Amino acid sequence: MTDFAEQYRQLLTTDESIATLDSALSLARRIATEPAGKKAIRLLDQSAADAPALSGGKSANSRRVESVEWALTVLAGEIETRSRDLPPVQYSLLRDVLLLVFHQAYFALLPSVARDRARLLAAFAAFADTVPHPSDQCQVRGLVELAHERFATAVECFRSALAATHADEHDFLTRVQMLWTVLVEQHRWNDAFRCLVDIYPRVTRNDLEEVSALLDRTFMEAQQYKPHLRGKAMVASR
Amino acid sequence: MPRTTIGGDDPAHDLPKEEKDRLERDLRAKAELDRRAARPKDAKGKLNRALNISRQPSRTAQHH
Repeated sequence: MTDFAEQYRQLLTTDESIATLDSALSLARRIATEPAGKKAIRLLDQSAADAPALSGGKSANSRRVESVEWALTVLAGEIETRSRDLPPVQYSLLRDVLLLVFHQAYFALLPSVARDRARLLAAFAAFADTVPHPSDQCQVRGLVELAHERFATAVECFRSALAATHADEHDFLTRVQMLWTVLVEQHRWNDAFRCLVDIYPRVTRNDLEEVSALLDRTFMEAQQYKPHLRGKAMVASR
Repeated sequence: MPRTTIGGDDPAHDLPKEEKDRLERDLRAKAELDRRAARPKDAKGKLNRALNISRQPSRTAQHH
């Protein structure tokens, strides 16, 4: 399991790409089919795990979509169904590798598929239902909503992910920035400002500087955008 | 609330805490530069990667 853990750590820090997606898929398949370490079990037969990669898809990306769909629905479902049989180490690593598969598929594969886009998004949505921790689940849902361009729902998902995260946790400030980024992109400066003010009392001393910088950016960009709004209003009133 | 530790110790396949902090801070800064440069997908990619790095490992006990 140490070898798998080391591969996982390497993939965590690697840029988004099709090659990294393939590596993440291969790692998920191996952890499920090659028991390594104490009490690890074979979750699936090799043939079942290889089936999507060998299926007669028309292109490499079509086969990839099938592999991602298999990992995020079939394998994710199997992990939950047999969670009591799986040793905690294997369960934990499998779940976290699937989050990596989702991440790479979302940022590297989704932009390059047109015909299979709906299929991939459906697999992402099904995967979100199986993610155990509320903050991770809301994060996945938020990204899926963004891909559907349902921005208001996406904002609520990221807001829920932040609400489910304690200010002492490592991921707190990144969740703040994710929500803030989506709000600012939508030019919802009041909401972006309110989000920062709401979390300000919870922010630890180490994070104060970054949160203050986001507050500054909110004001600066709102000020920069106001002339554009005034210009549009003047055109509309003519 | 902080995540429960019921169900055993951290399996520790994630990165050391100091490295998490460093990588995460770096990715947040780069994401902000991407956002300002009108590269929203790159910005969110870096933020989501930072989240994967910083989140605690999944645990079996979480969903019981």
